[in-house]
Amino acid sequence: MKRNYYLLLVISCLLFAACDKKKDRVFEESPTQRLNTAVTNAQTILKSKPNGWIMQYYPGDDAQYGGFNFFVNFTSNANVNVQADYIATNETSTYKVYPGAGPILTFDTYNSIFAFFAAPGAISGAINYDVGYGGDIEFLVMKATADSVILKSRKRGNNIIMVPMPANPATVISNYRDALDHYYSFDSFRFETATGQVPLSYGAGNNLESLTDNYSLRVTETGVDFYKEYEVNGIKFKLLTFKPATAAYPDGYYENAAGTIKLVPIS
Amino acid sequence: MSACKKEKLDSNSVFVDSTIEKNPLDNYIYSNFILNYNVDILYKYVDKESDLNYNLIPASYTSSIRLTKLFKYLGFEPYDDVTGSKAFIKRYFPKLINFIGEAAYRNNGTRVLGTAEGARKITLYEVNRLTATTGVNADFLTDSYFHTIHHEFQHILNQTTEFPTSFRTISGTGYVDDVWNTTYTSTGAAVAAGFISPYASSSDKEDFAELYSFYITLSATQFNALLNSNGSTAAGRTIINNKLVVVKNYMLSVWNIDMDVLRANIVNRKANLGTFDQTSL
Repeated sequence: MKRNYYLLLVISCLLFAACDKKKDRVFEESPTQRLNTAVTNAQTILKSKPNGWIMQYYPGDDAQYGGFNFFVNFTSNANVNVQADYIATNETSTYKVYPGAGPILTFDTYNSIFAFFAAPGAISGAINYDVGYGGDIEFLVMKATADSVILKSRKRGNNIIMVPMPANPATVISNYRDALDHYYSFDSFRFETATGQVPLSYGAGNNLESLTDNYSLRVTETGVDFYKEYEVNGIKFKLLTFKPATAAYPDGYYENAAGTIKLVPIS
Repeated sequence: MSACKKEKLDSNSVFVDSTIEKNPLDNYIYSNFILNYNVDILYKYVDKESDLNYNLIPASYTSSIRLTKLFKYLGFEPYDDVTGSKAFIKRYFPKLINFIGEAAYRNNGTRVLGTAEGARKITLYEVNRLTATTGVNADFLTDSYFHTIHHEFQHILNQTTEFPTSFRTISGTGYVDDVWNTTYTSTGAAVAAGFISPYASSSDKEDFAELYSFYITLSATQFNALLNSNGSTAAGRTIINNKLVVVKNYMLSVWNIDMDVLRANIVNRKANLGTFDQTSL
């Protein structure tokens, strides 16, 4: 019986051996042409913003160390100026967009702002000897439009979004740095909902840790933005806005739009 | 099968490279390395030329300028002087030199400082350690880059014309393969066993390349100091000197290079590092 199946397979192969090679394409252009177009498009979009982009940079497997805001400005076809919220450095290095599984954006010469996360721990002094924070320097460009550029870090596969920098970059960068300093000015945090509290401590980066869970976040001008939607005590949330101090909350608090969950600093 | 139509292949890649402005280092590499030696330097990170198993960071632009200029000064020009032309390097040196900012760190606490793949490529790590200070430190340059460069180049010469089998018989079954770093934990212990370094004990090929590289990159005084490291023995030194005779003969008879002349050239260049301009392009 088995042999018959094989025979059938061989015969069917012979039957179909002489097919016409031409197939209708789903797209007008060849895959190569489309990849070339995508690379050119990505390069054009990246360079099109005179104030550059705010890059939501998440290093590490599963973005476990939280995110940092990089302020990247592609000033020519080769050069990129990089600043960040975590350090008062302004450094120019090089970049390139090249074809791979799609357009790939690579920051291909040393830039200390990327290197702090991309370097092995032996160099950065972080986490462990070989991997360190596990930050990427190469990104697959998933989508590039004038409103945003969606990247996927190549080694860790984290989603990294870039949005255009507004017209007043110096002020915006300064606001981001102040917000990050403020976020780090406490001893610890707790989540607070109508049904209970979850104590939290600072992680190795911009992540908060409860006894059981890790919450990856990025500090914005107005509050904190989590890497993905998390759920605590049945409340789902991603974006929390900072609210000034009250009598009950002397250090203020971060809260979602519905007012159902608070991230309360403890000092 | 029989009814194919022959199509001419386009010499250009179907993928269009985006135009990137050439900077002064790009121009320097083109006119000094590609045109003169048919060797290219990739100082910008290229993922497919790099080892994806490691977390690597790119070389910096300023350190790359230094290493590029020093590469020519301490890596290529000694051979040009000794052989009388650029043809030797152009013909035999690996075609691709890859710069990486820091070492490739393994989770067992060791790191990779240099690799050579076939006769095609040499990768140098820790390029970002090269600064105004370390750039004039001859020992640093030798340890960090040039020992590796000459070592790997020797492998390529060996792949072109093998060294005499008599070399291997000197240490015979003494080669310990992968356990070299636990078998010999100091230079002195290695020397006592007839190896110039612990790594030289891994195989006859490594032994040959190590001996060659240490000999030509170190002054006579430094080399003798190495031979007399703590724990070394006269018996071990004799074995090494016997091997050295084979290495020297090989270089002279096969490649017409007198290792003592080459060493004098390199040592002299190291002594003049202070006046060598490593930053202007």
